[in-house]
Amino acid sequence: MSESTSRNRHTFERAVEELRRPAHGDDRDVTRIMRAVYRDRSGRWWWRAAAAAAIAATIIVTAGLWRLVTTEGPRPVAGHDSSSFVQFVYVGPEAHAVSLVGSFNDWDPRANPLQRDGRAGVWSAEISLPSGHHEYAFNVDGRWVPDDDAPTGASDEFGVTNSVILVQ
Amino acid sequence: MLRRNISNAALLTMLTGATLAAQQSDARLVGRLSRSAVDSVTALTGHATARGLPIEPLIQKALEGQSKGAEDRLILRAVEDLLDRLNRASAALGDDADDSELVAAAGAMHLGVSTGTLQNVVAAYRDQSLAVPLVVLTDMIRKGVAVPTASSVIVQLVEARVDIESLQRFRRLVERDISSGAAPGEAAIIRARGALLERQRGFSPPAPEWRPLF
Repeated sequence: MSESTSRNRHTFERAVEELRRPAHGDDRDVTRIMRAVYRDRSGRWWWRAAAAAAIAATIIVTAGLWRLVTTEGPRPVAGHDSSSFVQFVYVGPEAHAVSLVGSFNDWDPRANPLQRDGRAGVWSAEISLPSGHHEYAFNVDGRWVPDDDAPTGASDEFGVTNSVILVQ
Repeated sequence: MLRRNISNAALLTMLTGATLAAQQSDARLVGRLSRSAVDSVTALTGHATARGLPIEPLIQKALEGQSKGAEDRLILRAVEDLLDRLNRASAALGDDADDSELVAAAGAMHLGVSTGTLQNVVAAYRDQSLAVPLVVLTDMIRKGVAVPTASSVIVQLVEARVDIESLQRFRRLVERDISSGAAPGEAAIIRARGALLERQRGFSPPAPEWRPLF
């Protein structure tokens, strides 16, 4: 017999027991019987409320932490109201230092260095970008290198084409 | 006569100085560009503001030039050219265009895309982000597709209401074909035909879960 069936049976027997008691012929009898029926349920209600409160608290804390994480990264361009994380990858086994430089970090080569993972020479960085049109390039040991995985931008005034990323 | 010219010049200099002083220089420029370059860029951003154009792309262009080691003269010319293209892009796209669309349109114009092409894209894609087809157009031209061919292809795709995800897919396929040795123009035309057929059949590839469009 399942726990639920056993609990229902117990509630039913208690309600029957209350019904067998002598009646006074007033509202107190109805209250007494209904209290017997709902005694277990009222206990479960408190348990459910506590569980709901715990879940709500978890959601609030998680949302707070997520907001904290998503507002990190390069300073958003003024006027943009949303951002999202983007991963940038450069493969260069021979490179010694790689950084991500673009309109999202004021073209500062020190702002977003890529980290090398393993000996294969895969460099990567995950940064938060505000919505909009961004141009960028990798700076590899002082050389400017476009991102092969991204569309090429129009700019070439300074001798090197940039890559473009659009963030919604 | 000479005295009057000198006093006019002095007045002009004072007025220019007062105007520059009134326009606060962007703090990011100070220390990275020479004082005169900062003043010139500030004057150009002032013009942009007066015309309702975004100034951030101009600031970023100046910072890009400094970061890439360009001389002041080259930086100022690049910022000036960008201001001119933003102005023309704004006229072509209309008042509803956002900053991303203006920058994308200015980029396409830099490579020779006509105002007429931009206006056709606007007319066909008014309710979608114009930045996406314009970035695809620019990328195609950069990959070697002739401007008239690339312009024609993009206008046909947006007139057929090919969606943003399909445009992204189209760009990647053209890029892959060119990398594999296909002639750029042929790759663009063949892949555009495929995108149009998919549109007719109602095929729509799944939308990417990540938010960046490229």
